[in-house]
Amino acid sequence: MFVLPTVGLGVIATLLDSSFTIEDTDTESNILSTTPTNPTGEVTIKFGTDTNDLYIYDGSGWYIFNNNS
Amino acid sequence: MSTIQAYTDATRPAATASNVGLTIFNTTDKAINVSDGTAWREYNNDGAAVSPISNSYNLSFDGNLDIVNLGVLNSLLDDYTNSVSVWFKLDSATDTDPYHLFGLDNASASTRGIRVLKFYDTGALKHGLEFSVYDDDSGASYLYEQIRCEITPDTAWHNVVATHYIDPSNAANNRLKLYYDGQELTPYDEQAAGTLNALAKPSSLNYTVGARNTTSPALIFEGDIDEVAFWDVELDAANADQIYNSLGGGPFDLSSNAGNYNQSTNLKGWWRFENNGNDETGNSSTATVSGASYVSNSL
Repeated sequence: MFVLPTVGLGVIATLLDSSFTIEDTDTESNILSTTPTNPTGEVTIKFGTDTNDLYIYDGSGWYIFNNNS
Repeated sequence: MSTIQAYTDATRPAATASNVGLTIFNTTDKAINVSDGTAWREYNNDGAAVSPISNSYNLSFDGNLDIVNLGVLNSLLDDYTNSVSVWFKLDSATDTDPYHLFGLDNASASTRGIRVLKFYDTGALKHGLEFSVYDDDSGASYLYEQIRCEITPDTAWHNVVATHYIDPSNAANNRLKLYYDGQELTPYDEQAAGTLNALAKPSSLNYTVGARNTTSPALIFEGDIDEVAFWDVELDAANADQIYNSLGGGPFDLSSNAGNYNQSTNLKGWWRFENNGNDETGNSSTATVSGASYVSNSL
């Protein structure tokens, strides 16, 4: 008898779509004016639409990863 | 909200064939890590979002004998290891005249000390930045060690950080580095260390900005300069990157640690040129500004 494996929603999402998309995009000033609440063990990542830089909030501050292209 | 998992160096899983492409944030060094199947590839941040400091003025040099005398800095400089930061903006992207940004107040560029120069290397046909350490206790000109790095000049504001570490017992350990807008430049020309005759700092000479030789200025800068600072330590790449990468691309408060900048206690001179020549470190090295004008800030 086939038994459907029981997995968490996150795992199903991973199985269905292994790509990684940054859903939060905004201008740098708008991004840096926010203080997200990070889920435990995770950090927030956003994309700057006016700078093309990446922004990661680690719970204490925003770290910037410059676009080099 | 988009999130990625966070780990430390110690807690991140092993990079294996089963997690190729796994992307995490490494909280130990604040870097993005990506598994290539056998190892973690690291992508360093370019600085934390540090709030800029109020900046109303900068100094404008019109090329007519303008010079800033910072005074004798001997007691504030380290014997062998120092760093300098200068923000500058050229009037011309094509001018091939050599410009003195920071360095000794002497006529011949000899004796001990450090110098940062924007120049055009006619031999190599390159615009560049030059960082030199001079060591001479005999009175003769003596260039101890030097690097030259190519830049593409324009008329925008740029930051240069020059750092040197000199090992008096083994020159093979010496390090001279130039960072331009937070990124370390690769020298196209290096003069290897000679014999170290004395300390790599001057005994009694003034340091100047914008030109050398207060009695007869030479290597006269044309453009704008702001936020000149030096430390008696060798700044690392993370510090140099942070100095350039404050919010809005301007300067921030160097007297307080912020983001990747952690050398505020080693800041020994900081001239903001906010309509005065004050040294903001409290070391009382007030600059004497001759000719150059305080103008509304464009940095």
